[in-house]
Amino acid sequence: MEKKDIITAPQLFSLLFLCNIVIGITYNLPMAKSSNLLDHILSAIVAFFINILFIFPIYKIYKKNPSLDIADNCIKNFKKIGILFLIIYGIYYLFVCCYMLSLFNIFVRDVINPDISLFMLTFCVILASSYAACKGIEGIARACSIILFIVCLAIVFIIFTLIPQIDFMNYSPLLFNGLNDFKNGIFYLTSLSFYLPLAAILMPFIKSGAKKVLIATNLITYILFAIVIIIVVGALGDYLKTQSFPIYEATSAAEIGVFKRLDAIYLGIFTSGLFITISIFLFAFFLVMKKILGQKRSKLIIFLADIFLLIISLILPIFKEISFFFYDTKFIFVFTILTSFVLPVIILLKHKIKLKWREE
Amino acid sequence: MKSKNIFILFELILVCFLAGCGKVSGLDEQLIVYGIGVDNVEGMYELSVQALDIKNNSESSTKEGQKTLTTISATAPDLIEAAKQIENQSGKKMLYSHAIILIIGKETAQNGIENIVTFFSTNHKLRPTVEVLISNISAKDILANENAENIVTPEDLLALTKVGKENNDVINSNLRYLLSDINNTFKGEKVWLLEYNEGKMYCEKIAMLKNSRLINVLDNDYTKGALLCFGKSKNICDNIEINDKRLSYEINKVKTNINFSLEKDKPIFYINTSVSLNLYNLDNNVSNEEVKSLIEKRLDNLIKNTINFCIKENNCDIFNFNKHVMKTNADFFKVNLNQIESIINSAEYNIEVGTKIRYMGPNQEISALVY
Amino acid sequence: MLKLLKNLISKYTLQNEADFISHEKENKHSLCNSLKKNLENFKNSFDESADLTIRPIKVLNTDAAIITMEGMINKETFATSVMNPIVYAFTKEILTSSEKLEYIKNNILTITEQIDVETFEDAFKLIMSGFALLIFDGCKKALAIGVQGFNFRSISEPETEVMQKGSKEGFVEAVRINLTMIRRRVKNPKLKFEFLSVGKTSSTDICLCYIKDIVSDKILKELKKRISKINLQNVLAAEYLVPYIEKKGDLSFFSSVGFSERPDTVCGKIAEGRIAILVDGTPTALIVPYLFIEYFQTIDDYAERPYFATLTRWLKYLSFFIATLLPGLYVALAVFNPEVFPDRLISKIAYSIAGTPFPLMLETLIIHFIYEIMREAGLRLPRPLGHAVSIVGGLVIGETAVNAGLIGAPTLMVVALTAISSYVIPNLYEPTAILRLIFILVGGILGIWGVMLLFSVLIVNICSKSNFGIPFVAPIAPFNFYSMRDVIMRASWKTLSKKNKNIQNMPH
Repeated sequence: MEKKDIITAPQLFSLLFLCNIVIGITYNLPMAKSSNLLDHILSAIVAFFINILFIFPIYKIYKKNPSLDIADNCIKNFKKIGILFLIIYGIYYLFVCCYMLSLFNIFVRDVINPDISLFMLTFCVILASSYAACKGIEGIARACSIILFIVCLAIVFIIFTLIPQIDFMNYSPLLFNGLNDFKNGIFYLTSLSFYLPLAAILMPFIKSGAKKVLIATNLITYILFAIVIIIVVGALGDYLKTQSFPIYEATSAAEIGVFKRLDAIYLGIFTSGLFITISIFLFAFFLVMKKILGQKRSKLIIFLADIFLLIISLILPIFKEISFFFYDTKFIFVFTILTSFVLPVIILLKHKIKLKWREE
Repeated sequence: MKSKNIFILFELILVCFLAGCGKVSGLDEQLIVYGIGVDNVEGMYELSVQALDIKNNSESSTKEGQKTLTTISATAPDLIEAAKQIENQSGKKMLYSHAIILIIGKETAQNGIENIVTFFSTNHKLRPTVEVLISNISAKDILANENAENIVTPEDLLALTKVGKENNDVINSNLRYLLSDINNTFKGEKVWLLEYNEGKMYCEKIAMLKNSRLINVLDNDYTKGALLCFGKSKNICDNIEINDKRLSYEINKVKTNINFSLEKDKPIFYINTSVSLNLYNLDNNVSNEEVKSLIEKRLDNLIKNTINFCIKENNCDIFNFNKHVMKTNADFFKVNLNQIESIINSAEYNIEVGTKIRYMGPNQEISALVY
Repeated sequence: MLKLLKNLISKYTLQNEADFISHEKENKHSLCNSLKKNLENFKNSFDESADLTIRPIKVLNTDAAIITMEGMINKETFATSVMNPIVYAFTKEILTSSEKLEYIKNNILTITEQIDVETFEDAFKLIMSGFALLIFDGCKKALAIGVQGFNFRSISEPETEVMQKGSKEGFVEAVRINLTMIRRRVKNPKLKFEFLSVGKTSSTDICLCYIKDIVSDKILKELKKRISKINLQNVLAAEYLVPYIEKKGDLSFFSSVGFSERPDTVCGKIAEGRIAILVDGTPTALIVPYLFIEYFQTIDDYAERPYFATLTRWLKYLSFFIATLLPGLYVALAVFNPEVFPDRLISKIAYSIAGTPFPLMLETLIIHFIYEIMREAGLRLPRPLGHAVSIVGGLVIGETAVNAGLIGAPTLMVVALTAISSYVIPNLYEPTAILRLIFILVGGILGIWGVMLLFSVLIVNICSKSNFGIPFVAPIAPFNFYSMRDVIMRASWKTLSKKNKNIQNMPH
């Protein structure tokens, strides 16, 4: 399959941005090990600059040969050892799917607690996402741009309904509890930069404008994050301390006219955004698996990956020992740094050493 | 291609069989609750719910837009058991999503409302904007309302609290704000008090809570002073006496700025209130300046007395003065975290009131020049 | 083993295709010199069919025959312009049979359409298309003379595409009449009509219409390739061709081949680089490639003022969402998320659900099926009985069922609104009818989650669809800002005429 020019740069931006939005709306204080959400605005500023640093090696690798993705570069530079790198990337993409799906399950089970079977809901989400992943990057990217437009409208609507509820007394001074919340926020935000390894594998699908896409995604994500934090803290105040999903609580508190509960909008955004996120990460996983196993065996891996996702996402919320490890910010941080910075730097160095040998 | 079709068909059938629609209860199998009441009876919780009565509805009543409501009560050692008993009594699962009011009896409130509020807030279906009220009689009597001519619906009760919408916005006695106040250890909670007197309902006073327990009720004057101090109130009516004549005025708009400063280690709160009001029945014999100064003095006293009552006498900071200290001087706040209550108690309160009076009545000129 | 089988199957299929093509060329039989033998062949081939008319005549002192089909020719034209001149034809020169045929063709006959025929198959086709065939004894060629005069429906307004402003003409079954309607509107010498034949038994004529300078050669070539692969026996309607013209393996609910019965619509599409396919016997033209957004565009939009046209455009978008999503959303919210409904509405819905014997999802499905049955009955019903159906539908099913407590009034209201909305975009009726049933099922089983999930899957399904290399959802995705002038709004003609929007220039 020729990768070039299948999707446009704005479509890639919409894919990465929507993934970030979905990750952002599941943001919660217990996982961030913080008590003051407002300090995370400062964390966001620092995380923005850290992400710029991470973007650098990924972009450099892409620039060397725009038709090769990170998986191709691993094989090209490291041959058989590169397969190990590929496995790490494959596990990472699958991990992100499990992470998002398990958070979704926790949200549905603990917050919403509907009458429908959680198993069936998860199964349907995985089924739908696999279908979209099989349809290919074109379909997902085009659908993403439409869904992102609707999601953005919904977010703007919710922001405008929450603005009248802002009470300036709810804002406490920044860094009031010291630097702990600020530091934990940086770790948490950086660990959630799942879009960077995703961009590494998707960039060859666009013709040009990769640098702009990466920087724009980074910038707009953190700006939106800061705006949402300011509004949510202003509207909810100390009520946030008791809530696991503050953004959800903010939408359920928003009201306009006759319509009292706007959390249905949140459910809609979460479901459609989750669908796109899992589809695109599954697609990335398939791309990596194709490199390792070949075209035909990778079809079997689709089926196995779905089963694995289903089991893990349902088990994780139940077994505290596993989930403690799985949701630990340090573990996610290390894994994200590995795939978005360490491995690309190693590839870049190997490439430079190779060039030097050739010159000699 | 064929195997793919078979696989898709199999998955669709599997989905249908896995459907959890057996557990789903329709709207007719759920008790749509509009009002909730909690009382304490012999150390046990008495939970009362006012819900939609589907069985006894008539076609005409639905066409006229009237709902048929019924009140169901149950007593149990804890709320969850009481809720279960109600479900068993009615044979339906409770649906709190349309509950608009939560009434807590006065005696129950004196024992603490945190458990009650937390219990209801954990139910995802319940709106966080549910209005929490404390009643001077038992909540069950308010909801059942056997003595009144017509059944009082939760919508009627909610309308009472919404008198002058901005008044209610200032008090913020809905579930979300109440939980927020409860989580703030230094802040006192405040909710509207629902009074039932000789077959009529009133909602004119504020109930003051500390650590989620009802400690006192602000009377009419203290309530006015509190509303002035919160700084966003509307439609407050009051009167002054001048030359044996009673002059009434209605406050349209209030804006209050509270500032905190430490002067020679002494905490001082500066409260600047500017009020726009309509004055009625003013005689031409009385000078405007005299009236203005009398009104300002009256408003000043209202605020001062309220602060004395809440802070000095009851040690309950419903005005969130501790937050002003935190915002203005965070270091001072952190150092004196354990004594913040006594600091607020012992602080000086400098109150300044400015008024803009519009003179109403047939003898007065109605124009901007009268200010 | 499976791989081996697959390879064998594919080889066998290729072999068959190659054989088929060579057989086609081999199967044509040439006319022979003997008139008697030719006439015998005709009689045997038609098996003495009652509508075959063979008239032996003598032309220029040579035996000849005129062969026609009963009812296919214009008898007056045939008599005055064909029979009369050739029977009284005279020449002093001594000519062979072939030369006589040429003489008749060039000097005697005044009919403009004359085709030389050398094979029986071509002769059969032309006769059955309303031509008269002149055969000379001793000549291997025949002359087909265009004297078509078969009856066809008069031009009237198409019932499925009613427009307030604009032309009231619609296509008819005869393809040649349809060509004239297009030609009258596009007086451009580059407008080209290309005839092809499909259907092994029916040999139906189809005509590709396009403007040479504007059309994409790549799309045209691909279309011809797909048409050549059509292996149907009979092509009795234009819709038979759709699965062959669409991309292989396309399982979408929405078709990327457009339909229209209006010549003005077709002309507008051709002017944008599209290709129209007219099928003989069907008053519907197929238009390729077709975009999803075009289902919401009508000729009336371009005849009205821009602000009103924009409003109607948005009404159509809203109607589509109502027609597809409303019943499913209603079921999902009423069953799983009733907190969304305002306080006064929830009591009315609760009363109606309590008063009916069926669960809400089943009730909604039942009403939909009843509505679909009524709609089908209304379509097939003779006109005198139409009133009875409306009485049965309206009074019995509507009012009586609600009063009896069999169905709820809010549910009936939802279904009625859905039905009305689905008629705003009649071309999308079929996919919306299926989709809303699926949404009701999913909404009743999985609630708002299921509805949003299915909606997202539907978007992916539509977005991944393309035909002839043009994405189905262009210009929304990939986004083209300039094209939004005719998507989000209907800009004024001054804006629309500024830049050409040929279909091949859509972002892809």
